Amino acid sequence: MRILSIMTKEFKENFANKQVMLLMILFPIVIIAILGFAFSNNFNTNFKFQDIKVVYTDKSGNEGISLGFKKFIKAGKKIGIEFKEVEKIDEGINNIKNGKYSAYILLNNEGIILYKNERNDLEANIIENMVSVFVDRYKTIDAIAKVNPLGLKNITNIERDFTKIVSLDRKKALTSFDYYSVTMLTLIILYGSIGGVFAIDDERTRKTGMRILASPTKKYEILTGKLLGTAFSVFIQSVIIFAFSKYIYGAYWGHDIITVFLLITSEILFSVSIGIGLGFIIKNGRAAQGLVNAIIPFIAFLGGSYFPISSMNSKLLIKLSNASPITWINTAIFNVILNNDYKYILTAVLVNLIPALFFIVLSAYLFKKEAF
Amino acid sequence: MKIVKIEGLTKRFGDIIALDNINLEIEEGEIYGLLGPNGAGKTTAINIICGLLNIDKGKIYVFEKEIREDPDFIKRNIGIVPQDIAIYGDLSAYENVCFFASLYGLKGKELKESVEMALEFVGLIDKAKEMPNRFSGGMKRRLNVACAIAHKPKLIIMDEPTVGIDPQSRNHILESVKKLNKMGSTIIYTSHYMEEVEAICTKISIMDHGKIIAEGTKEELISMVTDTNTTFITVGSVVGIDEEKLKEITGVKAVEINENVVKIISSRDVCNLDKIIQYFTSKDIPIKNIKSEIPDLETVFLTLTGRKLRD
Ligand SMILES: Nc1ncnc2c1ncn2[C@@H]1O[C@H](COP(=O)(O)OP(=O)(O)O)[C@@H](O)[C@H]1O
Ligand SMILES: [Mg+2]
Repeated sequence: MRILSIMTKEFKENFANKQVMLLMILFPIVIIAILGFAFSNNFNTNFKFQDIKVVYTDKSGNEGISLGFKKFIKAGKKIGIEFKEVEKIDEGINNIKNGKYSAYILLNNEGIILYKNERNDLEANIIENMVSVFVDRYKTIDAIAKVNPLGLKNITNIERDFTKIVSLDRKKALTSFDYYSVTMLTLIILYGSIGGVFAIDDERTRKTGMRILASPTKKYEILTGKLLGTAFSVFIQSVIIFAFSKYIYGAYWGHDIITVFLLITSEILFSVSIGIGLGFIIKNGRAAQGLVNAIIPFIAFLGGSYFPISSMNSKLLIKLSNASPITWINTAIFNVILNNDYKYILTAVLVNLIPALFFIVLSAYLFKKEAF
Repeated sequence: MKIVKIEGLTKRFGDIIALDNINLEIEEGEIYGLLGPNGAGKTTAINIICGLLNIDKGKIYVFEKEIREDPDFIKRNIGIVPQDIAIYGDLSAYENVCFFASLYGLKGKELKESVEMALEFVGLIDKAKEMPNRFSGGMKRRLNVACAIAHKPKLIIMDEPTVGIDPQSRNHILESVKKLNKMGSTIIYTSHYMEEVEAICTKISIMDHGKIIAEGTKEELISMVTDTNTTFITVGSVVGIDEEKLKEITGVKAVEINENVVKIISSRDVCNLDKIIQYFTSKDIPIKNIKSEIPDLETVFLTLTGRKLRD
């Protein structure tokens, strides 16, 4: 139960520190408002369905598929997606390479191939999501057609299916408030690492660490209590920011809050473990804080905290952005929120938890060797 | 029972020899003083007893167990008041004591009662809900004591617990030490104030440069360096004083007369001041001033090291 005692103590200390609270809660809430208002125009135009442009080539030679695909296009056009048919496959692929179109759909006798723009942006993902639903749907139809051609009439209502999926899962446009609510939350969680630094350094400067070590408390209990206590503090701060952005600013957080918080939790563990590790490596809290403060803006910038990196039209920046863990967490969250797309989650969680594990092991090693 | 037994303990920090072949035994029920100037090695010795530092050489037994044999048992029964105030400024006095007590396995009602008792004991129960950030130095020191005693340890170690505080808080702490001792705890008390150690300790070690240079009760230590008291009596006129008669008074060993000051050296174990005064009044010699030079631990330290305790 000592772990719980230490957790509770960390939590109480964090919430007693008004300065930290101000930074961790008020700051992001204010910044969301400022950036939200300042860039409201950019986002309304940037993220509309109207911007999604798709080229396609139908070489399926199968009337059933062609008919189904026409209905698919019709459904897409209804919500504003632009479709253009091209004859040549090369032409379609080139349109993706030069960035004019978000996706290229090729129907041939083997099935459906989707070419996406190199950037992992939202528009291509939406198309991918829709196409995969279409494929699933078509497979069913195909199977039924083979067994019972007469039953087909009642099932091929693809158009209605898509309208349903889209209107259910998709917000019409991503506002600047939606965008910054996510990116400012994931940014401020990075600053949670400073909480980790001082969870260690405070015991050193206050000399309370030696008092804990003079008690029968085991070192692993101290480390676990500190990790969980600090992480829980940042988690509660995150819930407050989330709730404020959702209910006061009306930011859109999608339908699957639990998955979003799973991602957020993995980022919290990432930040806090690195902070605790730095607390042990750099035996000076202020210096460690300085280091963290110097690095975070770069990670945040590349991760799209201030504006989407894809909007910069720079291949180099987009490549570099992959090095920022925030890129992965933001991409995963946006895809869950806007697109019901879960395929970035595993990568994002691993990108967070692998370094977290590394720093926890390192901290345990350094702590075993000597006191705080 | 020997609460602490140290044999041939040596501790180095790089080139510095902080403790140099220390031998020491502390009996149960004692208030054991470690007296020595800054840098003597008191804190190092204490941190080793608490299991916070590794040693280079020697054997340490606490509660008659070798220190590495059962560190959990030993730690559970020690309460430490560190030299540096070690409390959380942002947690209330109550939360501070409660947190440390909980690390010793106290919980529920027992925890609550123990914490309240500890705060009561140091006179901070009225401030239980207040943050130590706003406490005076003396109040912080007292909270520092409370954090060490809530779990009712058998051995309480206080490392210079009165540094930099007002006389009232100092007296409070000194009284607490005596009370805790009466309640059954053995105490180790370090200080570089000889008055404190003289006032409360039942046994004293004098440390310097990582060595114990003398050990014993206050009286034993003083008689180690001298067995005499010196009295200076200033009189109006020395006419009519018979040195030989003065020497006949029990305990008087030597008499010297210098202008109008009579210096009388007596044996320390004899109380003869009344008889000396009687001699002067019987001769109608008015006494202007009496000064006694009773040797204290400062004298002991000065004699043994040639230096003062505090420079
Ligand atoms: N962690 C340490 N690293 C290096 N030297 C130390 C350390 N702790 C104490 N010392 C040295 O050991 C000696 C004894 O110190 P200390 O035990 O603190 O003395 P005291 O408590 O009697 O003032 C001093 O010379 C001090 O500088
Ligand atoms: Mg000391």
